[in-house]
Amino acid sequence: MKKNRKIGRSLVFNVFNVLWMTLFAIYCLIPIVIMLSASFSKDEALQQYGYSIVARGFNFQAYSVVFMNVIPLLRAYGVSFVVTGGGTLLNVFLTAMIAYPLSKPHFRYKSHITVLLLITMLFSPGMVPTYILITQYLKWKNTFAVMIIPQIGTTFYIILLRTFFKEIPAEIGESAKIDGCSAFREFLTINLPLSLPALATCSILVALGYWNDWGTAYLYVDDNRMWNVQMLMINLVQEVELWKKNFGLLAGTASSDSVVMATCVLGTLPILGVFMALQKYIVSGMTVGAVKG
Amino acid sequence: MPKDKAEKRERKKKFNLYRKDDVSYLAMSFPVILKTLVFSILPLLWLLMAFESYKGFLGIFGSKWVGFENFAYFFRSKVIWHVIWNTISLNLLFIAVGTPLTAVMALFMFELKNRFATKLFQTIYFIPYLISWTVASYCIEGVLGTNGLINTMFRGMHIPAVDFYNTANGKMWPWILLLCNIWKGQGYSVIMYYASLSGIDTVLFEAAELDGANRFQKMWHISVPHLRKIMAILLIMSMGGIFRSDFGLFWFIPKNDSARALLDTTEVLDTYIYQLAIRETDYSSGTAIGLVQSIVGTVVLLGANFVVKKLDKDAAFI
Repeated sequence: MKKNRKIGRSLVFNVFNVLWMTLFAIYCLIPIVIMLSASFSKDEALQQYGYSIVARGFNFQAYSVVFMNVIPLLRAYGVSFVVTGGGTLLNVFLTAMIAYPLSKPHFRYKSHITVLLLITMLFSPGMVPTYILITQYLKWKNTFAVMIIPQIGTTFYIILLRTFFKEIPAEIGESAKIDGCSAFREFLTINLPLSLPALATCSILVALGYWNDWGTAYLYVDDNRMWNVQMLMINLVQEVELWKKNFGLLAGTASSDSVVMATCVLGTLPILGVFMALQKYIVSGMTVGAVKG
Repeated sequence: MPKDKAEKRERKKKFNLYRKDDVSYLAMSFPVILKTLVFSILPLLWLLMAFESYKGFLGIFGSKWVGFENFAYFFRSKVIWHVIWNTISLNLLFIAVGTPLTAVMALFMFELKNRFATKLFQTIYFIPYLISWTVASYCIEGVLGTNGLINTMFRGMHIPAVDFYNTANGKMWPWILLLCNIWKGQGYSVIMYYASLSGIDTVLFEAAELDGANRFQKMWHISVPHLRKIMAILLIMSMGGIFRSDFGLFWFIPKNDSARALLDTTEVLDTYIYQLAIRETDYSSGTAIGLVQSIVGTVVLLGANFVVKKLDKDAAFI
């Protein structure tokens, strides 16, 4: 009797729990569903009836407008792929390279480096001094360097990887060292392969940062041949007007909403794919950083 | 107590081995250290601009020194106080609503013992986090715009359309920004809290069960105390960022980059500095406000850390 009541209460809780989590899931998905449905809708229908969950007058015209004018999109993809791919590899490797010594209790300069990293976390020089440094002294406008290098070595990822390296038993490295293995080789051949899950977590988050980095491009890229995907998004409305003209649609006769949304979908797909492929590492990796960090 | 000679020698050998490693370790840390010095320490030099009437062609050492004139000019102006108020009040709103909501959602998600369901919800909640603010601004316009989803629904119910992007509706925007912020960031924070919860030793739950604790007692006495540390750390961090904001949210979502109709309720220090320094090239004033921003941030962070340390020694950040 008592047990039945307990199960009953538990059931009520579970139903309530799933219900409100589903509601929040719907809340998360609505703007994305809107984007998808609008990209498949007829522009006239969007103007007349407004956006809706289900596409009105389902068609692929918006996507054909984009594919007829695919050069700007391809170029933006190219820049974003180079920055995201190359940047993530370099970034995660260098982050691991500094996280590893910091995980060693007997490293003499450990505290010095930690203090330096802490200072940069506590006090940032602000947007303008960095802007002056990059534009007037380094002269890095419109370069890949500016899109990649300033994001390297984020303290959060250093801590995440350091925590993971600490978990690896020191005996493994020590036995290699007796056989004459250098510290760097020990890191490269033993510790890196053992930390693949943590590296994967880091890589997803870093890659996401690079792919969605509109801020750097907004400040330092004014040449539209060096636009990344996000810069294209920022200037999308003007771009789409051009594309429609090329497609033979008169500017101003219909709105460009569906084409804008179609480009948004195409701009988000790559990072969504990477996330779906590697998502199992996100929760597991964050556990490492969150619990003991 | 004198040490054994053999042991001493052994130690010295190990010590030498460590010193040899130190060189490799330094070399390995070098790239990130160099990057940090160039991009976080070197720019501190240009903070001098805050005390000058900086002209690009005269350079940092040639420009005229004006002392605290830039700061004084700002704190006399009315706009800045308004912008500071927006920044602080919106940040506090985000923290006050976001932190408890995240904790509750993570606790409930942790109670969901079905692995498939947990994974599904985590994936869905994380998707908005993957979308950049630039794309999000079009999505959100699809909901709020004159043809947006809400107005489509209003039309169905014969309610007159609402132009959310009109200055007249500025009062709604703190709440709209709160909803956008939750939409985009909630998934990430919930997963972070959830990850922390899944680090709890299951023995604790089993022991509590044996003692006859029910679900809510377990939640209240085991899970909640476990979340305290991560909550404290995130709270300290967000207090440190009280003068800063998520630039993309405040720049693109209320269209402060183009229409600028909602400045009254949505302009924050970061967007103000961008407009002033980069668009209007008033570098000196931009640096001055940025400096105030950094100093206040550091002081508040250290203060919050101090308070947390007093309350619970383990939960502090530094």
